[in-house]
Amino acid sequence: MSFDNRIHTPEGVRDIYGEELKLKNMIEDKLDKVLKSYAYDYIETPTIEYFNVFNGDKGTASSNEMYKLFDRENNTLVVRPDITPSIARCVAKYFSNEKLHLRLCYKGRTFKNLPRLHGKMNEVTHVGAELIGDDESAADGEILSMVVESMLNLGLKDFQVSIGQVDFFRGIVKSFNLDADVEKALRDAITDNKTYLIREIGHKAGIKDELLDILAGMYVNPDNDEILKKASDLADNEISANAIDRLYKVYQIMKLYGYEEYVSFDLSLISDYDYYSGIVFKGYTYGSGSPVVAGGRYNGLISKFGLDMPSVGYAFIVDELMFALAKQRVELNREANGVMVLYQNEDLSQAIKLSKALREKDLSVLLSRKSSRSSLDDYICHALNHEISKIIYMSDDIKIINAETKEEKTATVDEILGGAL
Amino acid sequence: MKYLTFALAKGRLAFKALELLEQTGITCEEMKDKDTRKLIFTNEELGLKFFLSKATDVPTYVELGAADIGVVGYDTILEEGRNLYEVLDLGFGKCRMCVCGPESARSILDSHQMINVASKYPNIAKDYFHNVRQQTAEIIKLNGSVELAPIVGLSDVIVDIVETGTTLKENGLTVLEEICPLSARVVVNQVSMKLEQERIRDIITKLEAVINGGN
Repeated sequence: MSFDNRIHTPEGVRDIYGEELKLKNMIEDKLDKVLKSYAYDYIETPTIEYFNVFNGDKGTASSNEMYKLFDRENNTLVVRPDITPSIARCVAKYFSNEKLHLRLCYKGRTFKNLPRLHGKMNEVTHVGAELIGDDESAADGEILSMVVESMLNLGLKDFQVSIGQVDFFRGIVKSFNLDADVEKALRDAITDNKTYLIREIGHKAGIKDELLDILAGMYVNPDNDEILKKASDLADNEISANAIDRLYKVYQIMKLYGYEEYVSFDLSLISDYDYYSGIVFKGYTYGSGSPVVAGGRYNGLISKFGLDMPSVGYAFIVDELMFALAKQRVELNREANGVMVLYQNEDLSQAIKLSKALREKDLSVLLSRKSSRSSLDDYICHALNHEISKIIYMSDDIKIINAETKEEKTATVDEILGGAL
Repeated sequence: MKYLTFALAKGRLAFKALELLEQTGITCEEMKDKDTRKLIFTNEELGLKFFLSKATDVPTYVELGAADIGVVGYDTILEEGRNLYEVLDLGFGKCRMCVCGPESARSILDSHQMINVASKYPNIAKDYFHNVRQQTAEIIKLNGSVELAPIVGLSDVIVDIVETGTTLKENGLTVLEEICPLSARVVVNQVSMKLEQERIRDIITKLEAVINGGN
């Protein structure tokens, strides 16, 4: 099958424009607002990095999911599949003398070479934050609060952030002396939520049904305190008990922020990566089949780059948020405050002068010549599609037209600059 | 209340799944009408929707969230390799994924030389020969009547579902190796599982009770 690939984009990537891009930009603005209000500093890392930055379980992509290329010295490079490992690399490289905590955030496109025709995009935008150098529960709480606040800012009402703790499972593995094969089988079963398999493996290992229910996420209770209490009663080993204690502390912090109603504990959330060392979380909302945000504490990640520093963070997948907001029809308030200056040939010099003056007043001005082939209604329609509320139409006299109501009034240039808009 | 949507693999599996659901108190009268041309069926009272789809499409609907819950064979789940929660083994539709062929093909398996494999399940076949048997295999994707392939010389063996083995026997073929047992499974979208946790867990628990009661 051949097609004209001058006009098409490769599979898994696409053009984003018009209304959709406006929605995307607005989502990014809302996420950015939270990052700024918590005093995080942006950091930019390159789109292409050495393979070793991401390889060996340092990121979320497997080796065959990465786009790879070679540099002139034949080193293997990858187009970044996610950004957290790059941040860890930067921290190890530039911030080894940092005495206080680091708060870094980023926005960027990431690339994964996914199976074709599966309905997933290969290029998605991540916006995220990392709080580095702070191992306290307050740091976990800050990151989780930022996640909740971002979702609220976006106008989402039905959403949920599920929080787990990887050490809970680790403690069970240790106390039941599970060998590596059994641990892996059980871990895979929990990750895929195979309830029947969790029970089968668990029974063989002698783990109680009630505890297996918790690992399978089968124990449901709207009261978070009850979930934690039950889990700590059932897992009588020190590592698991400390894990629950940590979740309890994080929950108290969430209460201080006033966001406790948006989080729930789910001890079936574990991680495949051994550098995860504390809380793990995922955020869900209607309309997107995958989590819109994910994160956790990865105290072992930066040390893979040579500096031992704890870290906790999150990453929103902007493209999943776009699906969710579009499906839920959440209206992000868009201000239509632009101005269109519509002139006829002979008025060009006056039109440019007026536009310049309005732009100096921080207005967004679309300057356009009125073509005789298009009607005034065409221009009004165009204005409405571009967040323009007022049209200044220069013909014999100067008319200000309200794009929505189509009301007209005449005014002079001085009146317009004096605030008659 | 939001609708929970079920995607059921067309055919026997859907029929059995509906029977099982009915025992838990979940019914869909609309679906029993054999002459209907409707594609989607609703139980307004319980806030449920049902639709039938080709088995291979069920994991797709569920992964992307168009359906919350799916009922589909384990063969399809393995072949499609989607990101799903696989929460329940329904215990019916039991059969096996096998390597089959004429008895003469056994020597090719034993000698580990390069082998030609025809299958409707290229991913399962490839995974088995490459990762489990560590044998070089040329996989040929077919879409039906796979048993023909070794008979007409298209391939040495096939990888396919075996229920009773009658078709194989009648055509001079036999099960050479078993890859894994199969049965019908309930799959759930990962987001639905969190946001509709109570309703979905309730359905699973009830289904479990019916299955265990039946044994």
